[in-house]
Amino acid sequence: MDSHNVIKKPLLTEKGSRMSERENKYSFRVAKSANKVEIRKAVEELFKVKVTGVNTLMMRGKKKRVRHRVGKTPDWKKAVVTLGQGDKIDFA
Amino acid sequence: MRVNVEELPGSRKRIEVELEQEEVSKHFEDKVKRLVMGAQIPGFRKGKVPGHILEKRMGKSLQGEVLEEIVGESYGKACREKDITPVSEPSVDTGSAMPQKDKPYSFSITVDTKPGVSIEDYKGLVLEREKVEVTDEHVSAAIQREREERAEFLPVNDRPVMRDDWVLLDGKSFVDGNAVQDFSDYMVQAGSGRLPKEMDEALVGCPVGQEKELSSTGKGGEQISYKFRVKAIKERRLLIVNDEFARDVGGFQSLEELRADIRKRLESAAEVRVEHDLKRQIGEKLAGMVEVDVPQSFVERQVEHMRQITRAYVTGQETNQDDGELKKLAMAQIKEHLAIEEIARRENITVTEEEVEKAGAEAAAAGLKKDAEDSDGLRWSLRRKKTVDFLLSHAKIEDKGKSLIMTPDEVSLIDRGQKGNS
Repeated sequence: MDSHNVIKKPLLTEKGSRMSERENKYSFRVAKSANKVEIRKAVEELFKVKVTGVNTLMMRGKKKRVRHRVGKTPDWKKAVVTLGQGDKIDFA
Repeated sequence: MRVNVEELPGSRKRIEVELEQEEVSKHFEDKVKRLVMGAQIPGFRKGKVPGHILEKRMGKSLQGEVLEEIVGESYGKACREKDITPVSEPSVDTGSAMPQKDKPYSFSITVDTKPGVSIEDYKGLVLEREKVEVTDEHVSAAIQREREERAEFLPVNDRPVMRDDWVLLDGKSFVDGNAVQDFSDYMVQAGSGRLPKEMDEALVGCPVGQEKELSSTGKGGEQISYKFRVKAIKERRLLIVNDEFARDVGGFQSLEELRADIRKRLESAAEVRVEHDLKRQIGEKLAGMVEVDVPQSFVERQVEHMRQITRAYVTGQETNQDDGELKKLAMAQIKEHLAIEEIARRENITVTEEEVEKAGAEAAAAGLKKDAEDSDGLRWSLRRKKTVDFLLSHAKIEDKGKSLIMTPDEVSLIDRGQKGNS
């Protein structure tokens, strides 16, 4: 899979920016079908950094009500990538 | 911050400002800190956005905002430091470079400043004082006016209108058949020339209650017609001028007392006028003594100010003075202002806070505009008054033969003005 299809977008959140500052961990929204190996490769290729660890988790979509029907936003996969010392990614 | 001032012709100044890199980055940091408080970016609670993320997000617009801040702050600081009083909007030249967080930054501001003036020999200005002379004639004219004001109007029923009678009219006037004016209970003296000539003539001989119509042709060939009815005829009875009259007028014991009082009033009014005239002369002399290059924008601002004042007094009517004339006037006012300011500075004429407060309270008591917010204006007008008084006390005053009060007509005008004031 192409790296651009693995990494959907970086996640810019309060929690994420705290983690990147303190633990050098960066979070991304990734393809649901992507596995940790693919994610590691993609991040290393796209951001030119050394990845030392990847954690993934499935995020449940939110329940949304449209008029009287209950709908659901899609589930998605989040990846928290730990970088090697001295490496950094500059989002935003 | 380094400030360099370059003098340009026409009292313009170019202020060159250079900021160190640390100063620039401090501005950036302060700005970001303030922006973070209100920034809302998805993924972050309000006020919790990290500075560097916000900075990235804003990009160029942040530079623009910082630039505004830098210019605003250093302009004020530079003016204070170099003692510059700007009189126009500053024009800022930043070149094409925007400030950057890790680089020093420089720019220049060009502004019209208040020109410095030098004025010598302001002590001992030669002024001409008009002579004040209140004659018996003037007093009599004032009394006559008083009589007319207090005259009784007695109804006349047994005869038609005669010349000099006062009549009460109802009526309408038409031009080419269209009603243009409608009047009722209009009191007018027949034959006094206040009414159109034809109407004045037709009025004489009308008995009470009679309606009349007449028409004439106007200058432009239009058909003018009047329709009116005499409601009442009145004869004016002037009071006899004697001690009783004096008592009625103002509780004076005798006619002599009344005359003395009127004389005193006229004299003081004339003195006020003389003093006013002297002060006007001072202003003119000062304006003539100052040679200064007044920036164009300053003159234009003054012209605009004068227009505003005229507008305030004459509502809905533009000044009909042309621009050139106004500009000349504005120039003279500016010169006078600068001269007085300079003299006040040299002679250490100052106004204390108490004086300002007192004057403000007086103005408020007199029902004038509230001066609380205009204490600067008030302070200046007090300082100006003091300076002019100072100049007046040091001036050489020469008496002039011509009397200020010329005609009884003028007397009545002054008298009326005085009464209005009291």
